[in-house]
Amino acid sequence: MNNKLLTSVGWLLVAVLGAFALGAVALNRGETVSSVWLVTAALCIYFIGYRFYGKFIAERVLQLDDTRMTPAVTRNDGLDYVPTNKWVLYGHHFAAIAGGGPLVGPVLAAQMGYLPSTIWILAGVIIAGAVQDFMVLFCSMRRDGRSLGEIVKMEMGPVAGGIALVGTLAIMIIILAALGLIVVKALGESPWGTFTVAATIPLAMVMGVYMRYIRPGKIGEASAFGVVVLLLAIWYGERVAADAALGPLFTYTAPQLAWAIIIYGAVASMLPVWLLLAPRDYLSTFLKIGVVVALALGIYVVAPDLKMPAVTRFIDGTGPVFSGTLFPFLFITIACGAVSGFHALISSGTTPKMIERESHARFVGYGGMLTESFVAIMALTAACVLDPGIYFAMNSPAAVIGNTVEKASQVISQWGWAITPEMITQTAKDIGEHSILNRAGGAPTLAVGMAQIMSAAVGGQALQAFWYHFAILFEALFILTAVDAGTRAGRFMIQDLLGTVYAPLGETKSVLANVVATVLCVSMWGYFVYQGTVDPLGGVNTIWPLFGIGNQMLAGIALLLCTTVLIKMKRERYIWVTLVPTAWLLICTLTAGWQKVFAPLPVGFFAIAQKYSDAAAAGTVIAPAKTVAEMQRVAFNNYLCGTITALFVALVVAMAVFAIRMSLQAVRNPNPTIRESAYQTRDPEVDYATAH
Amino acid sequence: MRPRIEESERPAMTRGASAAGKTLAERLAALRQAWRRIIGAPDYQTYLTRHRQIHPEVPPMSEKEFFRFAIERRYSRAGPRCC
Repeated sequence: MNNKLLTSVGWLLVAVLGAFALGAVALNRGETVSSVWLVTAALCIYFIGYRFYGKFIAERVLQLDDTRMTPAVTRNDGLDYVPTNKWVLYGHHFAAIAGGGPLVGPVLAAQMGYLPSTIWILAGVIIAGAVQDFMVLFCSMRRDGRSLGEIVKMEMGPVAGGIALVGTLAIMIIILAALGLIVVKALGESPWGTFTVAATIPLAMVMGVYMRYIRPGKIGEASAFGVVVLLLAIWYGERVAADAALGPLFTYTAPQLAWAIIIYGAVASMLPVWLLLAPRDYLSTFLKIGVVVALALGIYVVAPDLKMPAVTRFIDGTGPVFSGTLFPFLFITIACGAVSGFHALISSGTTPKMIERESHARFVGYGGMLTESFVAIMALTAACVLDPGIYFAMNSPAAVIGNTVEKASQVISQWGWAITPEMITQTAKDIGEHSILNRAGGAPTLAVGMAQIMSAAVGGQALQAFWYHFAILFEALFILTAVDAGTRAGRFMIQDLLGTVYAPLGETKSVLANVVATVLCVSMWGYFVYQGTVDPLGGVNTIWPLFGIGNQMLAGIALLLCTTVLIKMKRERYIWVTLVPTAWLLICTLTAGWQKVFAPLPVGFFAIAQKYSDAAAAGTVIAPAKTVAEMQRVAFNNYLCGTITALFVALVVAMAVFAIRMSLQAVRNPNPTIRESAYQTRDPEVDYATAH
Repeated sequence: MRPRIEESERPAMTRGASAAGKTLAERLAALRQAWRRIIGAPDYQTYLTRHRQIHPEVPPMSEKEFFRFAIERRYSRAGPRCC
């Protein structure tokens, strides 16, 4: 009784602290707010969401049952299916879902101010993102750890399964393109960054050889060596950049780097995995967890003020970083930090095969996503502690603010953020770069923000350039790993699809079939990366909304599945738990899709394409294009992006139709029609987890 | 055919008993194993223990063989990465 009272008082305190912190963030207009309030408010809301809503879903909606065997126990093979301690599995799951998305989205969305983004990241994760991850994990766990595509096929039929596969492949291609472009934009004309990122390739190979031939399986030794060499490479990179002979060897333009990453993707994804992919994957996971923890500590130690206003005038849709109004484009842009369709693939991947007991799914699935959302909040913080003038100088396309610091400072000062050319030049100098202009893509902005926070905590001004390149390297490392692993996954999907048309192309052991599928996959994402560097209107600013729409559509598909599953379980009374986020995601993505297809300038892809192709036909050239050929390129790329958007819309509408049909059938049937693995009883007192 | 756990095959360990009575070396080994699991690296000990339980008649792979096999497997048809 006493204990219960104490717990209640504890939760009340968390609630009061959260409300107070959120109040400080939301109401303190006109003067700057410390980022500590923002982060504290987020943490309190996560705890409350986990304790109350997460528990409600676990106990009432899904009715997790610890007397039921999980696949990790029934199929334990010591390899894929391994019952695992819940904290360890939480770490594994978080490392698998955390990637570039939650870092980039909030940085771009910061152009509307920190408040709209904060509200969506927090509300979105509680009602949509964490619910999706948790429920897909549950569905997969009850079906021997099957993948999302297989579950859709089981519960919604083979046509729906096929649609989900095509949709997943299309979204994969777009995400690879966006990630590739982020690296290219971050490394363009930056010999220091290019050198350190290039150095990771031979480094990973040395680690790979070490772990295979010299000391088999000794990952700890190889990783420790890797981290030390990595830090040395960052330190040495400064000398390389300054060196008259070496510097130019690592200085490339964005189109050159685009080709480099395309060739890299093709070659790396055909190398044996132990040589490059696996060692770098370990290294990047290592860094990923380390950086997230360090950034959280850094924010609390330094307590920097948020310099971005709570809300900027760009909520009206005239912002330079991405075009479109707050609704629906803020939601599309933030994507992963609030709800990410990609997590449905991870939650139905390795994680469900490792769950020791059903009740752990809440901590791993719901809790893991809350942590991802926290990463998004920190990325938003890092972007908002920058001087807004610097933020816009880095993230606005050349078409808007020009190519010189003088022009840029003039344009940005007109927007109301006073900035001098000297301030822009000084920021670039502080981080050891020649220029920070037009570096949209999130990575450099985040790196500058992180460098300012980290150097205030450790090392001062002298280490700012080091921290900047550390942050760039950290992002490039896991992006290159994602490009490599994603190209492989894309290749398997393409082979699956091609195999249904012509069987020999589906043969995964055939070298020729491998090469064909790899080249197809790489050329699809590679096209967007290259165009992003040569198209005067292209770049992360253009591709990111496409990615956001695709990602949120996949989340919509996953939530449609969860809704159907709930109905088939005859839990209709809780259907609002998935129906509310499903409806919201469909409204957002379909509106965004509709606007991207049909809206007038500057939002609609077809409107832009029409404008440029008409002008090209008339022989006139519109800035920032310089030639008629460039005009035609702009027109073609916008037609292409518009078509892909329309495809995404068609996919999700088709899935919605399937979901409604299946649900209506299930509603009419008085019995549950769910297709789960057979119930096997277990003793909840026995702990099967081998890792303690 | 995948193995099913029979009543007699259950590990003797029950909840609560696991944390107590461990030496420092055992704790370190557990920590290392946890870390490998988090970063998704294969773990030979887990495999070996399990293999001896379910196929005592089949000789297990050596550490070197297992490592090659497991790495290849993890990335061969694994699902796509996250954004």
